Amino acid sequence: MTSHYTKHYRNLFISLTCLLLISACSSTDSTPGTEVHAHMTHLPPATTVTETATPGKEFNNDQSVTIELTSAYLTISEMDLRTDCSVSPFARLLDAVNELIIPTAHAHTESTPTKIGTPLVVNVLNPDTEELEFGHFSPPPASYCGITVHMHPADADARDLPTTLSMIGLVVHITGTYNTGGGAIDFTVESALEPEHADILFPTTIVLSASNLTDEAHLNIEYNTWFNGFDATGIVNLAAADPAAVAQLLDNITASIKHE
Amino acid sequence: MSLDYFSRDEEIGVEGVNKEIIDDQRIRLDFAYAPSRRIMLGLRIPYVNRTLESFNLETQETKALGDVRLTAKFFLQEKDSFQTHMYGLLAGVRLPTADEQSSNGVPLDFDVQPGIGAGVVNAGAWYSYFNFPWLGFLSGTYHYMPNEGFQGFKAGDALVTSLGVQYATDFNYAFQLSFDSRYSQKDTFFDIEDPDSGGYIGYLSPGFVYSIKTDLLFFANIKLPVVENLNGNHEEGSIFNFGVTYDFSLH
Repeated sequence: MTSHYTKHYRNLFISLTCLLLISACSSTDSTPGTEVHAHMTHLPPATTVTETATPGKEFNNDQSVTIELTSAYLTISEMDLRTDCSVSPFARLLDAVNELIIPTAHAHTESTPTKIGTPLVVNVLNPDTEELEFGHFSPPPASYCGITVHMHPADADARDLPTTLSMIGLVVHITGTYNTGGGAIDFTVESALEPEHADILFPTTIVLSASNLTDEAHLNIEYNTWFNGFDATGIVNLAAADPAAVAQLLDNITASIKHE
Repeated sequence: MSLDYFSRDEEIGVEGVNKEIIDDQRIRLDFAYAPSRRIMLGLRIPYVNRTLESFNLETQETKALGDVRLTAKFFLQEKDSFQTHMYGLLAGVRLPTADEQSSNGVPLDFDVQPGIGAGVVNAGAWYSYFNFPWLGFLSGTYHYMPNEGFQGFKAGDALVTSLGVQYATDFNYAFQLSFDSRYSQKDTFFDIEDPDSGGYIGYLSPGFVYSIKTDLLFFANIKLPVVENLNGNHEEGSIFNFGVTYDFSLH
């Protein structure tokens, strides 16, 4: 009887062992998580921009000054995906005061699930329809109302650095001409000063969940508004790095970044 | 020879930032062989099913054979027959037998791999006191991983201890209670410390053994983490384990 049971359990163990070994083939499975892709174009809303043979881009500003850009770069350094878009003007003022008292050193910032911290130098003269992917967020499931775009001076590791000039240490570089009717006059503007960040609200909240893992945000840089408010004198002041004129340009740049 | 099921889970990182939940389930096949009364050799073959869920709902899963472990238990007491006080040495090695798992050519996250990619050796000592129906036991082993494994991983040195008692109501049932602990240094990836690793954890582990038939035992236990001082953002859950052991040696 004992022998019978011994044989029975031995067979049971051998069967289980065989079952384990047969089932021991390896397999893997991987399913992607949440992603929000941040795309950028520099297509102005109105068709008031002409691509010139220089090559360049020509448009009129709101002062009826004809501007032709022959070289234009802007450093987008960081984007933050936001769940709270109710930042008060007072909080914004505090941030500005803090930055004034203790300036932050910016280069690469560490990327997080809701932050892309690798700078990208945007060549504004690229075709307006060309879409750049700044990067993608991998945020936790939540509702996202907008993106904050930061512009800090480029460092050597920034993506798409131009080869014809150095953008290292610069936020913006513009070379071109302006014409108020008396002929085109050359000007160049460069700035390492940081524009105010741009808070972009999504027209529709992005809700990420198990049933909606991916979504996209499309931003425009409406560069044809950068010189609004500048007449011929203003552009001369800008080229001379007049602080007020540069501040006006930087404000215009901030305001030019919008959701598509 | 024994076959058992083992289950544990672990949470690492900060919610909404980098949190990962690891679910680790194993079926383990153990063989033990005593070439003499002074030594007991062991071989463990695990079949591992690990899943990893990230804070952003990304999931990864592997099912594969894990790292094989070899153990040796040496009996050093004066007489080699069963007696009240028994003690000896322990030694073991975890062999890097598991393959690194990939998806579309990209290695999966280290935390979902069925093995670690390099060997780990351990050595220690044990003592037991037997006075039917009581059995007391104590053991400690030090674990050391000399080389880097998959993805630059190197486990921190660890000290694992166990202190427990067993009470047998008769020859069919036995109840166990032990305190098992692990203290380990931080793990590293390519020499960079993982802040969410290492530290101290102590488990209270009740369990029981039931003799189904002669030489056939069913066992089950649960390890409840009662003392946790783990580094960083790192939590380990309870560990469940049940299985059967069959002893061929008397036949």
